[in-house]
Amino acid sequence: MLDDLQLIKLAKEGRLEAFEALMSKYKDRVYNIAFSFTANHSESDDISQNIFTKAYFNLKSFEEKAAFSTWLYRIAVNECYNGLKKRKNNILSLDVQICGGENASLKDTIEDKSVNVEDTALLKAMQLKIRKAILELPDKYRMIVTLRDIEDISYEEISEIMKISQNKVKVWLFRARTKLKDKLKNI
Amino acid sequence: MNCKKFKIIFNAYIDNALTEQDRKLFELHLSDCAGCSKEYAGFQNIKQLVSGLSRQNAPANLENKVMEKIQNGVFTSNPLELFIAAAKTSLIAAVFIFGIIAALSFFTPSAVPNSKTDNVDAMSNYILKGNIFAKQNGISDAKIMQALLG
Ligand SMILES: [Zn+2]
Repeated sequence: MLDDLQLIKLAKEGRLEAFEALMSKYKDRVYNIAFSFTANHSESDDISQNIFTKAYFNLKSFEEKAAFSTWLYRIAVNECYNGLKKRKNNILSLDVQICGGENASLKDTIEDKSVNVEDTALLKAMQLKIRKAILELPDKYRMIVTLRDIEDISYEEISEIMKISQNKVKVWLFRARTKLKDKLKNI
Repeated sequence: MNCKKFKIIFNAYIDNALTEQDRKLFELHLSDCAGCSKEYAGFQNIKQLVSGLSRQNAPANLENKVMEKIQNGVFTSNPLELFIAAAKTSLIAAVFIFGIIAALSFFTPSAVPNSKTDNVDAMSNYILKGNIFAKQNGISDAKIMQALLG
């Protein structure tokens, strides 16, 4: 099994299958970032395609100082923002077709709240509420919550990805979670 | 430490980003302060709700779509850039046709530019666009911290 740097080296030499292997490795993570940011499958599909296409054509500018994931996520952040600029009025629409698999992991979260876990309609409504609350956050707060809470990326890496100080990471996260706490206080 | 100072580290505590010493101080304060304890529970709940959202997988054909774009040399959906790319392609075609005509006329054809190389050049400033956040935020960290701490 080749590691990222070996795959990048091959891809830079023009071996497309090496880039395809990198894509297979990271596509779900990248898609998940886009989905958390847009809550829309078709937008996330477009954004993910753009992220990888741009990554490919910029591979030469990737210096091995940072991890490939950090570099790729930075493109992902930029592309999420670019996608937003192209959209009319910057209004995002919540995709109600969020797949059912989501319910399974939310069960654990609300299990101790004496909710009937078999009530999938309720779980579905709940996950939509959470997605909606995230969607209503200002862009930078939505992004920071995505990177930290959805992708579980460290403060240090987030500061590299978003090009902000770690102090700012903490402050934005604090504000983002405060806003979410307010929006979701009835859950 | 007073409550305000603890509030700022709620998140660091939730994210396991505190030093051992700060973590202990924080826990000590929580056990002693109902207000912070309640507010902390709210933050913890949010973290759980958000990270509890299950992962959305990319469509199975994502690689194929991207490979298609790569092989076609399509790297942008910006109409102007697409137009320029199309113009370049036409130019290359023109040069190519001219080359054939020239060859047929027993002249040595000139080198045909490589469209892929051109694309990479055009894209090289993409990553260097800089920090979107820094531009939209003229406020220093210190000021934000100050505002947050009241
Ligand atoms: Zn307190």
